[in-house]
Amino acid sequence: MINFFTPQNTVLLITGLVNLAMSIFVFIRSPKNKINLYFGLVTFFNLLWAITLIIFNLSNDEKILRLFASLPYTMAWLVIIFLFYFAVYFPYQLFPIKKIYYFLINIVSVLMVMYTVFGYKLFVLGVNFTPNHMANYDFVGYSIYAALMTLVILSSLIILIIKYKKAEGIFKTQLGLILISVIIGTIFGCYFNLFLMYIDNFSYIHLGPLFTLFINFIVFSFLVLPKEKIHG
Amino acid sequence: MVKSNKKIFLLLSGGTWLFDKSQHFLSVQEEEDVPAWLDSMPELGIMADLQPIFICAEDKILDADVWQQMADAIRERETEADGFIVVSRTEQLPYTAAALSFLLPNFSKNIILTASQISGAHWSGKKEIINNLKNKHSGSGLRANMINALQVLSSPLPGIAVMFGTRLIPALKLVPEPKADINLFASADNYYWGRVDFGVSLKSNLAKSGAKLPKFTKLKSQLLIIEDLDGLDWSWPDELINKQGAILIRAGILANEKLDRVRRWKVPVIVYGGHEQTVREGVVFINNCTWPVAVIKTMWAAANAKDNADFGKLMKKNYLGEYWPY
Repeated sequence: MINFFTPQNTVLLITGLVNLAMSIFVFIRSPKNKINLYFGLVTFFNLLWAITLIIFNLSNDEKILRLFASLPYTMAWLVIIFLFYFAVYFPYQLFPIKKIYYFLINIVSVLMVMYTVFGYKLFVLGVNFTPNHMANYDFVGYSIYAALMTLVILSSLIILIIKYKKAEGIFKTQLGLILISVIIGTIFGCYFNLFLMYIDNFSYIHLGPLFTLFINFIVFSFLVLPKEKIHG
Repeated sequence: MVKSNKKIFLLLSGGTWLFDKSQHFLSVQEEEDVPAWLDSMPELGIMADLQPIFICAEDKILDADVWQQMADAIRERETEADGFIVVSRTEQLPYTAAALSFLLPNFSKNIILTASQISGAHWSGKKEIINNLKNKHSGSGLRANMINALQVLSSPLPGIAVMFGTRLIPALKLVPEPKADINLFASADNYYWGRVDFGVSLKSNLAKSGAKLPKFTKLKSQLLIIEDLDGLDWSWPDELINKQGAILIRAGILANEKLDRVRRWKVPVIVYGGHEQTVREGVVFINNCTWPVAVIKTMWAAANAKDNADFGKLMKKNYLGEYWPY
């Protein structure tokens, strides 16, 4: 019998539900606002990331396990891409980004999604059920994925750091908090869900989504705490 | 958010202090200062097509003439503009906001006022404030205020607003904040049109007000303000008093001998802060608005009323929601 409520799945479920709540909360407040839109998409794909990891943990079928060894990477990629767009627009756009860069980011994203969804058999070479659910990834494909993801994360962080340095008043505080939470979320997310796979360690895949909750927590504090307490 | 092709006119009339990259101060003292001042905030250029209009220097004390000049500049550009931002002297912001509200009623485009945390051209006595702004806020607050103002300009607003710190405040409710830090101003009735949280969150039911206000374009500058402090000698010659455009008395209940003086005066009189007393036509008691609104509305009514009775009517009517309910 499958035990759903393992510690891993419980953490992922809680993370997913918090992300779902944040996603709805932020979308409802102002769906036309680009900041809300991209943050809502970050939280929404965080939810899907957690769900696909839960299915990976629960799967007993080899084909499903192989597919769901790949799909979390689709979701994680989309999380990072929308995080990048969020970094560009939050709390305001500091410098214009050339269309060619947008085009490159979008085309790479489409290719990455196609590769991890439709080409998952190329990406995931095999799976194991014991001692726990594990996957064997194509080294070259995985390394390209990891390198590109690291590049997008670093770009987002650089944008936020430049903005933080130039910001003043309320924006300085906001950007400082967002920057810290993004650094925590991405470092731990990459460590547990991207780099540990190189040593076939799948025991901590629930911790990547968990650390993204820091970003949610900071944004939630902006939304509900008295503004003077945050910015004062 | 404002799209990049929105044409926003930026009126400059003090309150323009900001730090540049090397933490030096910049302010607009003359028209030639505007390009360098604007270049130090390149992010604004991404958000909108900003068209600066120099109204007056940083150290100019604003008066009826300047407010009329601002209103005229805005009115002239109504059709071509997508909105207006008025950067104005900080300590006079409530007066400027009230003046533009009365001079530009039912205006079709959004007008948002803002300012730096400090204004004026002189540094003396401001060192502590400047150091605090540098160390704690990394700037004068103007850049952040203007970015927030630009972000709300394309949303429907009921009237002229002030964006300052984390608050979007109705212009006619603007009062200084006693425990000021980042927010130097508050709303007199604690009602805000928006707040800065994740972005700028506006109240959901904001829309252009349908208020009907006569389109008067003048403010009377000859206004005598009397603070009725204990021991104040009321023996001014009637000739001096009757030269004034209007008299605004800040007082509680006026004693009988003072009421007798007021009865003799021929000019319109407003008593602010006291209870209603029967005096004569043209003497109006108000206490349910902010002090800057009382000052500006008196200037507005005095400039445009045909006689004392008309002045009384103009002052008593709540045209723009400037009076709150008792």
